[in-house]
Amino acid sequence: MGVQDTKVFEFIERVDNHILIDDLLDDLLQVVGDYGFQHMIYTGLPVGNNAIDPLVKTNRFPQDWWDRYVERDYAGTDSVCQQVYSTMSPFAWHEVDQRFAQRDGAAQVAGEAAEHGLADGYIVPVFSRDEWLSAISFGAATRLRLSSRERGALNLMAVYTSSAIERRQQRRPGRGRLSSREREVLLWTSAGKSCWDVSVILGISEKTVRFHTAQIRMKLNATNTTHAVARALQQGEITLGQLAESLGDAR
Amino acid sequence: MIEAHVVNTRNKHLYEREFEEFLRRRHDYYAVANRWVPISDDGLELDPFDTPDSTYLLGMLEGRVVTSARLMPTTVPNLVSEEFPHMCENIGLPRSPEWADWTRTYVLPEYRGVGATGILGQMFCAVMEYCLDEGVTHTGGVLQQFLLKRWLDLGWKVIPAGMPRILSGDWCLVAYVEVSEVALQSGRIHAGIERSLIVRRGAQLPFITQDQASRAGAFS
Repeated sequence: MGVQDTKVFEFIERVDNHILIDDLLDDLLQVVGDYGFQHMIYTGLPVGNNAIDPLVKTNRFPQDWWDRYVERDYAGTDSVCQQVYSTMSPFAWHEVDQRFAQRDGAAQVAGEAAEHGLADGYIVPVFSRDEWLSAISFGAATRLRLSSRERGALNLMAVYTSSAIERRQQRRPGRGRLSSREREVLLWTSAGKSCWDVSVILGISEKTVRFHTAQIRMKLNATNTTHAVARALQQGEITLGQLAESLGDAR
Repeated sequence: MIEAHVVNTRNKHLYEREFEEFLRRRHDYYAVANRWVPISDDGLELDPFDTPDSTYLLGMLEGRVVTSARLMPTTVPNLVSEEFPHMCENIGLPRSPEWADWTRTYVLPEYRGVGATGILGQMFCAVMEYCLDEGVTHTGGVLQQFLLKRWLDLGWKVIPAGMPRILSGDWCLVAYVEVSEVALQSGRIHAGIERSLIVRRGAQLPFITQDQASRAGAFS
């Protein structure tokens, strides 16, 4: 067994020892560096026209590129992302099927990615712990020639890392299921109600509503209401039916 | 919730109908529909490892076998030792009475669903429960890469025996799960199971027998 393989199996043994996700990602990027990769992202894939940003679990892509990707909603045009909807087989970015690569805008996204230091990459589709179509994607500054053995190693690291990240995010202190009051608050705010509106509807103080929204964001690890709604749906805290109902009431 | 019935040479006669129906359904799926294995004359899907050394867990729901698992000691010829020994470059080929070769985990297509709380998650927990009962310390074998993630997501510690390779178009690897009380508990929590799933009827046979223990060797 070669030195590179040994490094991979040693990494697998260490995966669960890292307490911080950031340490795990540093370690992973160190090991995949030998294969030519400098960047990685682990994200859920959006359904329909929804944004990808709220589904990101961990992100070590260049920040300026990711900001642009999100702002311009490139997930919908990115051929690599699109191919994952049709196959669970891992592939190098440059191998993306022509039927996706030739779609409008796809070449532009690939070109801009290269300008931002992501000339090639390797993507491993997985189902998240909560059964959401997701992928770990590794990014590289130059075009890569990966052997079958190297691909196997990347797959193995991607699977162990993705599961470890999810189990850690689940365990984050203070996190737990939403209370029924928090769920109510989330549904009203998702329907566009302000904190004051919600306080009147539920007959509680505005300060209490703010406290609930802070708790919701912490429990769901969300940065804003949209993000919280996406995560709540993804984690089964609220259903699409409940959401539709609250939106209907708000009309 | 399934009931996982333990079937071996001692009590097989109690499960003749269920066992045969299940082999037939496997054959319909693997041989007829997907051509992964040769079509057999009797319409049953058996392989060289369906021997008296095998123990089956038949996952029953509403009187039907909807899922299964086959376990055998790694001290007798098994799928990994006979066909994929080269896929164990990390830990060597396991040969120990306490390491069980796990194959044939299959869910009838109409019972396949998404979610860890599905039939597959229940079968995984049944295997963990059985192994814990029988003093097995590790169980595993050849599996598809996506199933590795399912094991890990249950909070299980999994040892990769070697690197993933493409087998018949799918990324597969040989890997073994560490059997423990903690693994059973975390698996049950994630799969939404609150009770034992193992059912034993008729005469039972210990998984680790004196005979196998004496045949045990170190990892080769």
